[in-house]
Amino acid sequence: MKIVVDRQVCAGHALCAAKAPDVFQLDDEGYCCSDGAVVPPHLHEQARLGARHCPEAAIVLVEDGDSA
Amino acid sequence: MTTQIPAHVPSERVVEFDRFTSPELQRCPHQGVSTLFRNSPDIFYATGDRGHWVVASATVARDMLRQPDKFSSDPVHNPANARKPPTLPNQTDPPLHTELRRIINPFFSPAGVQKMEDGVRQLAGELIDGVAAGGHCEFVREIAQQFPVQLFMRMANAPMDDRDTLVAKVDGFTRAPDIQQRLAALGELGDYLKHMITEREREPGDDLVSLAIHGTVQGRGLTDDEKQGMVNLLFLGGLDTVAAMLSFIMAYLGQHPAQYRRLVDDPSLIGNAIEELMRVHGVAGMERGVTTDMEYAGVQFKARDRLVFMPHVYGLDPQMVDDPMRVDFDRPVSSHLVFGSGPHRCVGSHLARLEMKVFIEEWVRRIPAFSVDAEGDLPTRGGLVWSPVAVPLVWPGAVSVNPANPGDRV
Repeated sequence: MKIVVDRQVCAGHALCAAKAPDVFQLDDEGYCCSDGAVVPPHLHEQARLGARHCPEAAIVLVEDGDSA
Repeated sequence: MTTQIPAHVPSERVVEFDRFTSPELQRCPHQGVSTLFRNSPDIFYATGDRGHWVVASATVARDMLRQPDKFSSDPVHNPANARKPPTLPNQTDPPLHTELRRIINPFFSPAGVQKMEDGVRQLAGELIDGVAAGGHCEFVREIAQQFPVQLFMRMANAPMDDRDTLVAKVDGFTRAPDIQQRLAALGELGDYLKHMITEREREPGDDLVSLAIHGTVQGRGLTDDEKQGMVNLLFLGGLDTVAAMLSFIMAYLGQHPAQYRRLVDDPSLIGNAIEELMRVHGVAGMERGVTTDMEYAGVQFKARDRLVFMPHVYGLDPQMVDDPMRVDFDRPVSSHLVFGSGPHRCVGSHLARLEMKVFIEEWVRRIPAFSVDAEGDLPTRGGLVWSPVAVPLVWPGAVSVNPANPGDRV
C-alpha cells in the first residue's frame, strides 16, 4: 500500500496523523508530508482510518495490485 | 429596516433571516437554523444584515470554500465586509495568504500546541478547583471566558488585567447587530493592539504577537497594516470562539447525564466525544465575495455578491452526516466544517481541540455528575460567533482529586 497526498488540497486539519500516528507524518507547519510513503501490511487498517478522516479527501491509498 | 434585494436575485431564493437577530438564534440555535436551512434553497438570499447570500448546504459550502479563485476572501470582492485594515490572513487569498499563514503555522501546529498541554491542563484544573467545592458555577462567565482567554493572553504575553476590556471589544465586534457598531469595536481593539505592536517591535519576545509581526512575505517584512491585521485577527479568534463552543458543550453534557456518565466511566472516549460535540455545536462563520459574474450550483451570481457560510450547522446537514441530530460518541467519523475547509482552515483548530479535550478530562476527574440549573432551553446569542448567554451548572458536593481515590467524596 502506498500513500498519495494531494499537497495542494491538504489544509492541515491533521486528523490523519491524529487517527493514524504510526502512518501519517506532519511537517513543521502541521501539513501531511507522507506523500509517496509505503505502508507495511500491519498498518493498513490504521492507514485507512486516517485517510477516511481527512475532511478534504486529500489522501488516496493505492492498494498493492492497483494501478496507480 | 428593509433590505433592497438585488435585481438578479430570484424571489424564490429570498428568505427572511438575520444572522444576528433572527428568532431562531435566541434559543437552541443549531436546531432552529438547521431546520430553517432544510426548508430553504441550498443557497438563499437573506434579508438581514444588509442582504447577502447564505450557503445552506454543507456539501455545496465545502466545494465553494475550496475555490478561492471564484469565491474570494479579499474584501475587494466583498466590499460589505471591508475592514480597515483587513484582518489577516483571513481577508486575503493565496498566494499571499499562504505566505502569511506560514508565519504562524508552526506555532499552532499539532506539535506546537502539544508544548502547551501542561499549561493548559494546569489552568483547567485551577479554574475547576476554584468552583468545585461550591457545587455550582455560571460556566460562561466563571470558566469559559477565563480558560481559553487566559491561555491566549499568556501566548500573546498580554497583561491579564486587560482581559475584561479585550473580551468586551471582541464581543462588540462579533455580536453587535449593526455594522457600524461592529467596525467601531474592531477599531477600538485595533487601537489597543497598536500599542502592543509598537512595544513588541521595539522589544520582541518569544510570544505570539512578536512572532506574527516579525514574519516576512515575498522576501520583505510586513507593512504596518499587515502587522495590525494579523494581530487583530489573532485576538478575534483567540478570545471568543473556544469560550463559546465549550459553553455549548458543557450545557449539552449537563442536560444529557447518560452521555456525560460515559465520559466519566471511560475518559479515553473524550477525544471522539469532543469531535462529535463540536459537530453539533459550531460557533463561527465566514464570508466570501464572488469574483466574477457566473452561474454556480444553479444560482446566477454577480461579481462582488456577498456570501455567508454557516459552519455552525453544517455538521447537522443530512447530506453530510447520517442521522445528524443523533449525538453518538461512537461515530466512526464526525464530519463537520466547524474549522472551515480549504486553505483558510482555522489555524487555531489544534489548539481548540486540545483545550476542550484537556478541559473535559480535568472536569470528569473532579465532578462525576452535574446538571444545568435552569428550566427549559438556555438563551443564546447569534452573530458572527454564537454563544449561550449563561450556563448555570450545579453538582452535588465536592470530590477529591487524589489520584489514589479518584471517586472519593470529601
